[in-house]
Amino acid sequence: MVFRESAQNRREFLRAGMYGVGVSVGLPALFQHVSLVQTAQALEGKPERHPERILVVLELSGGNDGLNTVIPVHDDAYHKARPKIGVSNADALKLDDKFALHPACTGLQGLFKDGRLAIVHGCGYPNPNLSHFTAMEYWHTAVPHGSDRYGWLGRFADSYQSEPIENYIIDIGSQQSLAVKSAKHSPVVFKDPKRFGRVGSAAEQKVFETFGRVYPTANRSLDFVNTVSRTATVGASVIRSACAEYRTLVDYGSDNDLTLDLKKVAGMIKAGLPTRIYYVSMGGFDTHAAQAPAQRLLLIYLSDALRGFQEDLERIGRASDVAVMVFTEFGRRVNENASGGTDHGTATPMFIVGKQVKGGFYGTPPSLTDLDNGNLKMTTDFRSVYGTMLKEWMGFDNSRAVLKGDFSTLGLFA
Amino acid sequence: MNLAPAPGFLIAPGLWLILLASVGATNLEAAGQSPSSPAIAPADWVNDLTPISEHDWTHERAAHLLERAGFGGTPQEISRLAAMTPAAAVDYLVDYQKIDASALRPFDKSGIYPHGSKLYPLQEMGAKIMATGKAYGIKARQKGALPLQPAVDEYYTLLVSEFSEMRRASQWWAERMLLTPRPLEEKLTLFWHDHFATSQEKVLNFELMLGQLETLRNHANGNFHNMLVAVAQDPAMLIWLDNRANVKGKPNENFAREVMELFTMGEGRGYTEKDIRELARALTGWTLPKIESVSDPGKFVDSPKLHDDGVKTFLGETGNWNGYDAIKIILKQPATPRFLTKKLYRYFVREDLDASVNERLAKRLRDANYELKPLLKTIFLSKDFYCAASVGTQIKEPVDFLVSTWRKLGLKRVPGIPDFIETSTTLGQQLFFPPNVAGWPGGKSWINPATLLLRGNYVQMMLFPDPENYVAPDKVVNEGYRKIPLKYREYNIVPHVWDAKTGRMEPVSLARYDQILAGINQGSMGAKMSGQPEASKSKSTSAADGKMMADKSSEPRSTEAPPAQAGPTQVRSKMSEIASTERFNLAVGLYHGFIEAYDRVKPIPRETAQVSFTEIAAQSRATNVSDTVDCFCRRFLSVELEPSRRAAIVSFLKEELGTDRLDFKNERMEEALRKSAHLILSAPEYQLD
Repeated sequence: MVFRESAQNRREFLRAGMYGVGVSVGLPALFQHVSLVQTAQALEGKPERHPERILVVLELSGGNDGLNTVIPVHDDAYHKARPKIGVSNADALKLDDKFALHPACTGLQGLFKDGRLAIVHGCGYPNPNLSHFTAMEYWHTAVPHGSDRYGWLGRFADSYQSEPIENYIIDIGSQQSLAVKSAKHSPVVFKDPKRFGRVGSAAEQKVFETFGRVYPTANRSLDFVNTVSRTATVGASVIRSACAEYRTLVDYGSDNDLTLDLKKVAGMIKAGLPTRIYYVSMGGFDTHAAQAPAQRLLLIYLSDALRGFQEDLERIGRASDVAVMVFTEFGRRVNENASGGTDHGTATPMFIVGKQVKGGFYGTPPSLTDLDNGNLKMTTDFRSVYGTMLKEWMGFDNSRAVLKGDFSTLGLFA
Repeated sequence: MNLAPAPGFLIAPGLWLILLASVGATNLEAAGQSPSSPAIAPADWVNDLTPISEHDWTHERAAHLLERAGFGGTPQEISRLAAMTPAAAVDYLVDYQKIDASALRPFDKSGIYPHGSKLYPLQEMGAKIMATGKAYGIKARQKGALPLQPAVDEYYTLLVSEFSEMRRASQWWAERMLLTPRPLEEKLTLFWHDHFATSQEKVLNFELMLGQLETLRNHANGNFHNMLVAVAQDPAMLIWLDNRANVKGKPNENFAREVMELFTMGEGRGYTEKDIRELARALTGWTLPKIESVSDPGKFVDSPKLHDDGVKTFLGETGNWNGYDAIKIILKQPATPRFLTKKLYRYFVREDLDASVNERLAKRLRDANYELKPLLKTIFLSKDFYCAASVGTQIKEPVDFLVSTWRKLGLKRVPGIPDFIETSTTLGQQLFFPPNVAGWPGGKSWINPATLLLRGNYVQMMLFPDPENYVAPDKVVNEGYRKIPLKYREYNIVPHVWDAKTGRMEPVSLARYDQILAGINQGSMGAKMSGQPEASKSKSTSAADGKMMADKSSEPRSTEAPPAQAGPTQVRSKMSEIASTERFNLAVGLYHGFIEAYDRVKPIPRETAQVSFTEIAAQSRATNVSDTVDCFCRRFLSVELEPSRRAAIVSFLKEELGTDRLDFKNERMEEALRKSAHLILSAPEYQLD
């Protein structure tokens, strides 16, 4: 393929995103890297308990209406508070004697029946903040009413894996989430794998390959940039091809941002990237008005995608190694508003999905009558769920340091 | 060749002889004399705060000073500093008030408030309409369908205009960084903007944001005590950290907490939750009246009525403290100068700060009663500042990366292609929109594989711009909203696109609009190089989108219906039906808001970068390929290019030219030199200064 540098070709690049003559360094190097790290850890006498495990965190932005997702169908207070947008007992998808899922959540219902879905009731934190911005920051940093430069996943990575590993954290999005901001690691952040490359002709690409070399220097910052550059030179092509080459016949539901992103994750897991944390997000949950059709669609996307992802992981033989945690920055007001929607609220359920999850309900459902300014009182501190994922799932014993406090774990994993 | 060159480098070959002949001796000294690798500083300079001697003053060290105490510069600018004594060079940069900066343009406002009204929340609009029949300075009711629509349209116009105008202002600030004769003034202002991180996201008033910037600039090298008082009373800060709502009996602790945690003492450095509560009480009454119209002053008010004048015990001192007293008490804490000097040192010198150096610098600041100039001079003159650990060891923050690139190229305007705001945002640093009150995390967090690649791709697109096919992102309706006319056809919303010739948003047919959007989505927009430059739908909580959806409507119906329900095949409603069921419509308002705002807000100039690498090579008297590469490396890099990379670039250039010798008559040379410059500016080494 001849690459003449021209405006035309550059547009072609921008359109196609690929630069054709890729630096196709294979995967073995990456596997090697992982095993080297594991060897090093073993030599230090602290091998990881679960070096194969992966945590996928899914953010629902805007504040999902938890009450209309996991529905207390037999509670009169629910129907009284939701005369217009409430889901009837007959329509809801039954889970147990008390709770049912929104009719859109057939995928989640399937996961629940298979024992792969844990629902944690009433998640929140003391003195909830009802601003999207602030509340999301609290969930990202795990420091409610405080702040931190780094995210909770970033801090976890820093203490769990203090020697940075390429592609350890992958955040699929156009901007890095505060949740994965890390002092030591450099999360890979991208939205479109096809555009994750350098613009330039074949001759220039040859020069770019030299940017992938890491050589020792006395300048630690230079060492760092060189390491990232290697990831960019080698890793980017791995990520591009992992995503581009991934084919699956598993039905994730309709094509939307979330299904496309989860397929990228599946592709990267299959390609054997050393990634331990994937971060994915989905927006649109801020349903102040005409909530019913909007949330219905979002929940279809969400629950089909989660079910499809599980099936796909099963297909590629990694279902036992992956757990997905789903959160949103707050639930919504108990009473519906005059616009057929709901306003910003507080406590809301969290979901954990995976083959190793002990499915079922956790925590105490918040009362629908004992409210705080019309809002649910939280019953589970979300940091308990975070701590559970870190300790029980990832096998990290010092979650206290990351979460800046002691939070009981929930016994979510077999 | 299908290359679209910047007009600047189309110079007739014969002209080069004249140019060559006219290159003065000063320029040659500037660009040519320095050794290819910087002299290594003695090991014992580490942590030595005594001043560097005249004997040790070199071109490289002057370059290092200008990088850190400014945004770098051309060899000529560096030579000017190198020709001074080190003390004189540092004085020149630090005592910048002596330099005339009156040629810098003030921000040229678009005039986004033609109706005299500023933004106030949508939920308050309903009440306004009932009381006055007016909202946002316009008659709220119209006859027929959607009677309240004009007011909603204006609300969204103001909302989009605030974000748009703020982005224009950040372009203006970047240009000021590029052109200022007082580089340290802007570098310090950028530092304080990060330190007192305030975002337009919440303030929603670009004039107040610019007012805060002015305050920070005025105090940038002055006295920190004065600056802290000014910031505490700054209108944007009063909104940002809610002190305007901090009143007697109903304290709001937001500012009180952050002022100690992030602005002065540092987290966990000697204050308690009780101190936060007491400080909040002391700060009650420092407030800001509502700003709804352009005639509202938008000025700080110290209200005795709202002040809690009871006795407080704050950081161990008991008294009837007010805000001024409390700030004095904070500044007495040993943690405060320690925290501030640490932050300044880590920004200007290097990441790792020795505890005893921190102590000495803190003492210097305290002894000078928080005057910043003596501290800055100590730092910039110290041997420690020039030791090996300090030189070429900092990761350039995105804005510094961009501005210093332009300065080293000798540009006179911020390049219009690719877009500065979009680029810096994707690189992680959008001016006036820090991620939260803690500011930008900085350091290593700036560089990840995607941002590293984007930095190189930015340079490529700046040096090889494609103006004909460039879609200016400041005039493209945000991704989540641009399809509104297609999705909600029953409202007959006329789609508009930017016309650079008329300088307005112009109507197009739906069919044409559909085609245009397809083009944008495919990525013909230059800005698309980085993936999704605009705030993606899926992470809208802190983007404009979030705000747009956050204001709740008290009206019976909104159009936040899912796309599936509003496809063209399902158009059911007629305008008459709409009129009977809806008083206003949010989607209509949003789209109108974008169109009207984009007409109101002046466009960002799209001039391409004007630079000639042939001229740069000629000035350095390079005659062959490797000299040229070395000349570029000296000009652009603070650390030596790794040998195999240098060799690869040398052979690349040789290949492109087909010869080892430079031929100034060769019309293809400029393109080849540009490509080589792009390669050097994409190297990992270029990320450091």
